[in-house]
Amino acid sequence: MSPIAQPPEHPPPGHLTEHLLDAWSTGEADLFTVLGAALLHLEERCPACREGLRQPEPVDIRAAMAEGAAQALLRAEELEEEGRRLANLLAELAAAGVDPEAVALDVERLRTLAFADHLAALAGSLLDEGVPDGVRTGAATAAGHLERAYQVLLRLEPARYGAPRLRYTEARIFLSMARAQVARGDHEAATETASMGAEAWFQAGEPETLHPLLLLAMADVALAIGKKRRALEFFTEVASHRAATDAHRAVAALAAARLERWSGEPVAAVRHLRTALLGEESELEGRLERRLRAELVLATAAAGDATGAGKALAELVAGLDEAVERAGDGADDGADGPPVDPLEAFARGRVFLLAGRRLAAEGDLLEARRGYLARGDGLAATAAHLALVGIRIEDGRPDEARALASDLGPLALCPGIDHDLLAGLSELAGVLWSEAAGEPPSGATEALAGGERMLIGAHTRRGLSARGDVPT
Amino acid sequence: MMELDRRHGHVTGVMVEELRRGTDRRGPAERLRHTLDHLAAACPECRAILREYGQSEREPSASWETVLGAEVRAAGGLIAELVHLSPYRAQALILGSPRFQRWGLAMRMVEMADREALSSPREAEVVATLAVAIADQLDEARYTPEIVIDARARAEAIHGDLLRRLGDLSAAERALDRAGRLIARGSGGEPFRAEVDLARCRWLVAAGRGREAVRRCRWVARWAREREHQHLVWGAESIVARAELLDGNADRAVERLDRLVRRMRGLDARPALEWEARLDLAEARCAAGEAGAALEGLARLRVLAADGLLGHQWGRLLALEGRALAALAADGRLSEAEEALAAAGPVLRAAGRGLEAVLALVELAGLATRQDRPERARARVEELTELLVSPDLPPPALAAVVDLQAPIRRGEEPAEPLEHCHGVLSKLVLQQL
Repeated sequence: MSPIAQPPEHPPPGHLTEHLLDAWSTGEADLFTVLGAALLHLEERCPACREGLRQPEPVDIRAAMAEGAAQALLRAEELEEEGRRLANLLAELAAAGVDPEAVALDVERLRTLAFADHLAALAGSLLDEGVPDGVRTGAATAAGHLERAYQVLLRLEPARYGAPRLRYTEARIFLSMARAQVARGDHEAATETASMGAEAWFQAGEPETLHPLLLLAMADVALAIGKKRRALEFFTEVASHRAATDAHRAVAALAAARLERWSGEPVAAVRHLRTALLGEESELEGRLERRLRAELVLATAAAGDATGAGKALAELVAGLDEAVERAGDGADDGADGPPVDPLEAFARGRVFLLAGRRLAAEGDLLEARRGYLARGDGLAATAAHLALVGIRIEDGRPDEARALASDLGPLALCPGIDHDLLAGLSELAGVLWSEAAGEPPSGATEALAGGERMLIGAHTRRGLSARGDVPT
Repeated sequence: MMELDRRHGHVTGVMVEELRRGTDRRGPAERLRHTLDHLAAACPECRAILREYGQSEREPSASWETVLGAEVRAAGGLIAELVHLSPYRAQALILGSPRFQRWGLAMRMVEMADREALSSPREAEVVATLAVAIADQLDEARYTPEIVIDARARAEAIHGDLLRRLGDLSAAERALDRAGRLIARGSGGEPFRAEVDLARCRWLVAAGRGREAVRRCRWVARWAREREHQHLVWGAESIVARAELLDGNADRAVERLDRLVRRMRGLDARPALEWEARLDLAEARCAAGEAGAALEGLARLRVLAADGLLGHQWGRLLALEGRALAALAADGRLSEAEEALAAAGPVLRAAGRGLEAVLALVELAGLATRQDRPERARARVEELTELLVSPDLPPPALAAVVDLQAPIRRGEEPAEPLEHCHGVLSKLVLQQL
């Protein structure tokens, strides 16, 4: 599907008509779009074209627009019907044990706009959820859905669906894809895809419903190229956007809070989180709410407010208890206790650290590190790893700090581990070992701070809107 | 109105209705081709009618060949347009513009990907992706289903092989499976089927299923030998040798590669392949403890290839020279070995072969240990940190490096961890080549 042809700025008389009729006849644009584009062009840009259209026969644009509008209305009904048919078909395929996504492009009946929308929505929720099964893997799954959605979309005829409607879905696919690409570390592609998403969004008539997604994608791209303040502005705008979904608001508030915390503004971070939690508490999905609450613990702790952090932690734990209770007996799957969420273990560790209970903090942070490694989330595991090394250095246990700092094999095996970050961690271990055993290593604190900076850098390079746990 | 049953080619009411509503994605020309296929193949009455119209359209005439030739010649300009676009823009262009839905363009891109596979696998993979997209859009009515299926299979096969080379084994397997399915629909001749089989064998070696690869390769080699398809025999032999090397049968690999190089000598239109085989032979000789012979072979290759070696081949040659010289320690040539390995690293890195550069550095550390220069060895191991940023290092290689650094930093004897790391990396390099 090629882009809807925009009239050249100053075509010779008559050319505009041919140009648009060509687009119509080849199916690149429907009548409604063709006439809309002509009207826009005539009114705003080019008097010469207006003359061209008047001759040899005048066109009754208003009547034609009315006809186009009627067609568009008809299409909306057809689309609803298509959506209903798709739901039935997906249920039918699932009942037959067929994975509809695996056969997406082979099943003729799935070649519909409703299916492309369905895949884009699926990918969007996966990204909003922070792709729980390991960021990179989840982002790859989301990207796979979006690829398939785009392949379906490319094969749909504008004459049937209307070019603006196709552009709408295209924008949705591109903008989500840009987020997934940032999460996978493919910045160059993400920048290009986000700009194509923005282009499609404009061509779809700047639909308000997609505006928050556009802002999220732009924020991630801005972060990936090191424009933190700009990204923060985008995230803040999403958090208060009237068309944003609850998930978008939560994701944006989380990302804004993290950026503020990393910039040394934990109080501002707390503000973002409280607004999100107060505004949407009852509507949020369990996992997103827990992530907001865990981030609140970290931000409050970073602000040095031990009481506030303890309170936030209590709320987080209460939320977890409720979740376990709701999940019933099967929640722990026969294990000794409820499954430990590494983010909560990490948050608890931070609070204990603030309260001076260093042994308890170490236990929780070790738990968090283990949990993240089991999930294959190398970035989050690195945060716990660095915090633990820091505790051991501060407590005057240099040998234990060195031993832990050198235990990088499991981190290296995490899929999609940031190579620069791993090199930084290896360098940190090298610095720690460069001093004689038993001696507190000189330069360790600096090296550790350098490691933390690298970790934040790695997180921002992977964007924040599609990131799961980012507990630095 | 005439009706065609979909399965057998007869017209049906559904088909007519879809045609009227425009919901059948296949064009009228393709439908006509489908009908003609049916008529010619299955129905004597129809065949009689067709005879009245002379020979089948599907026989490529001289003018048809001219058209295909012209397409191949015109492909250069189209490729230039495509490769500068982002993947999405290029795909949209391919799908939206019939100018790009050309067999000649798809084939040129398959050739281009194949040609660049050794020297620039990343760039070649992008080209192969586009070739797949183009082949997917070819109109069966214009080219005949056989030609289109063949083009799709070729594009999928080269794409799969490149993905394997880049370490994405699951995506590579999917692409090779697709190529296999297309072949099952009757694509290409038997030589092409054998080529895809070899790509599958390379994948099996990379996936650690060397024995399976050897069995399949033997079958391909026997078939190709009977029909005198030299390139296929060579391909199969080199895969078997690699599997043997990975399995610890270096002597057998040497024997096989030696035979292979003798047969290839001067016959290959693409000397890069012969040079690759000579490098493989040197590698096998080093593993078999025939360092002297390996060095002689490498010296001959220097003369033979002069300045023609590709970047990564040059780096590999230096690294192998270093390894062979190191093995000749009794001759007191360790400093020469050190020099060669130190020179190999930057060349390999510049050619995007980070994994092989890491291996060269580990070998340098090993040399220092043998020379009883522990500080030097430690320094080399620390230098590895810088190479961790290489994008082509798979997680097991990253883990091998950091697991090597830990005991050496603790002050443990380096020989054993170095040997372990060397073993892991050597295996990974052989799987990736």
